[in-house]
Amino acid sequence: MKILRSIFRRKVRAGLTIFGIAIGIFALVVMGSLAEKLNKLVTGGLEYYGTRITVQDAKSGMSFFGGTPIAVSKVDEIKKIEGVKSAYASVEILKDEVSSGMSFGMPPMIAGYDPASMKDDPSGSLKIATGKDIQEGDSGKAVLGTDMPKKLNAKVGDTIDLHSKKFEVIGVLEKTFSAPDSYIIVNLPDAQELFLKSLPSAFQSSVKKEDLATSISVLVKDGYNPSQVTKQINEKVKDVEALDPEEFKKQIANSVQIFNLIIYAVGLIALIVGSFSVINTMIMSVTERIREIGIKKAIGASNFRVLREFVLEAAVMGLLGGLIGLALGWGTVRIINFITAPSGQIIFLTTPRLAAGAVLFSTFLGAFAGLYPAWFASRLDPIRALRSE
Amino acid sequence: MSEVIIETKDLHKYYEIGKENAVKALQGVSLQIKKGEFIAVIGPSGSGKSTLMHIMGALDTATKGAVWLDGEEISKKKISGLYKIRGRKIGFIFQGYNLIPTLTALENVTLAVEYSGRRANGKKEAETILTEVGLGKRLNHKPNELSGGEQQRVAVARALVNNPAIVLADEPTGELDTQNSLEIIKLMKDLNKKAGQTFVIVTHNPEIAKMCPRIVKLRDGKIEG
Repeated sequence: MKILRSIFRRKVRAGLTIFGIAIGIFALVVMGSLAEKLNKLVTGGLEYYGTRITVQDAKSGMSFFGGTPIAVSKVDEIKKIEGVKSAYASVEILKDEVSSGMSFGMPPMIAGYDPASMKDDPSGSLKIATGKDIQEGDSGKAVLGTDMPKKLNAKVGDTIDLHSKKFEVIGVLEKTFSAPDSYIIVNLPDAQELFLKSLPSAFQSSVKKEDLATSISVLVKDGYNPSQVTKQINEKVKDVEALDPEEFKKQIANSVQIFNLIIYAVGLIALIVGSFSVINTMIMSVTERIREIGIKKAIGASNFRVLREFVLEAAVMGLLGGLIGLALGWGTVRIINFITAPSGQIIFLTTPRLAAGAVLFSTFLGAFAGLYPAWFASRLDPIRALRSE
Repeated sequence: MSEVIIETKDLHKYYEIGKENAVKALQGVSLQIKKGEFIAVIGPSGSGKSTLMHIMGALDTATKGAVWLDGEEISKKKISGLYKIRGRKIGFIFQGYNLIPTLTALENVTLAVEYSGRRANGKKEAETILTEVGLGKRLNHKPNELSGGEQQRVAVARALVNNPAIVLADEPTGELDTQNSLEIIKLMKDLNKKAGQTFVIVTHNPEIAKMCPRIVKLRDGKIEG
């Protein structure tokens, strides 16, 4: 209470300073919420992709979707390699051959899996929100990612058209905040048929439909190093390229770090500006209270004690600014999320660690900004200080 | 013969102004003050009264000479460590009351206990002493809600709360009217009689000086007579 009274003896000035910090923390919280959301998405993606080796045709290069088909028969060859728990083929092709106009996020994909082989991969299986999942032997049936009913204007029971073939929608997936949200999942043979039709006609006659896949997913047994298994696949299976999940993880981690750095740097700049106003306010405060500092020293306050009192005052200003900034930022994030939620775009996530971090940071920044003025105050000569008006 | 509470020996204090000129504020002041004395230090301005009080009060150090306070030679101590002596052994009363404006009367007095480093119930002690100086009903008033006389009573309470070896008062009535001046001096005299508290009052007011049993006259940095 004493500290608050001391701070607010100049109400407007203290208020403006605290508001300056609050704006900085506001920026940090909003930008940080964006980063936290992205981090969560990426972490989810890493769990999914980081545990499996993706095998493509050697001619496919690094592209994840489409490219040259890989033979389903390679699955059996891969399964023989030590450390491989299971492997299954899948087909992932673009729903529309030419994407129309600009779009934010992933383009709609048709994904074909064999429901039987998916049983070995619980982490890869997607949860059904409404309707039911594709069963073994199903044909002409489709399960939609959570964003697709709106995009295709279709619901469970409706019929949709994929590459001129009719499919009945039998279910919708739960939201994953990642690629599967714009998937249309069909049974593997259906996807193979669509894939075959999309290939150049000269090529169509030379391949068997049942042998077509865009990639093979490989799960590694516990205790085996995915990088080692990847190397084994590349050495022992001809004409394929296995992508090391560790490499994938590293690439993602790098780009996320850069993104985080940019976002936090913006918030940080706002805060540094705020902290300068703390320095300014504290210097003015010390100058006005020189006599008071003299009194305190005369009645027994040590230099350290005076330093501590002023640093504490600056820290409390930082804390107040931090709390106000957090409240403003959190409120704004909630409002934006509320507005964008119906369109399926949740772009902010205020985590407890972000909230606590922001407030702690502003408190420390306040204390740090108060250090110089406080040091100046603590070094004052008590006699001169007492004589000042 | 009661014990000596403070003693100065051949105290010199020079202030340097520029390279060649020095102001000789004190030129060999030797003084003994015994426990329980009530003493006035008088003299014209520039005579060295305040300088003497600052050195006796461990706010400043002498250029030459020695000061003993309560048996301890404080002139040998480093200036950075003198705050402990100020907090525990000395009580200051200033001309302009010098209270902290944002704190209540009670908090102003409690602060002195906190700074002294004593492990004590500062609030309780402050309350007791404020009641003793007649401010029992004004504990939670801030300085701007108190009259000049009341503010100076708070300052007296603050000076006494740590039961110091000596109370140094620098023109304690300088900003008070005659009535309040007399009351403050009377209060200090009562405390001197009741508790045996030693008081040194720096003043240029002859009326105040007359009320003190012992008077020390300073002129040009030396004790007269």
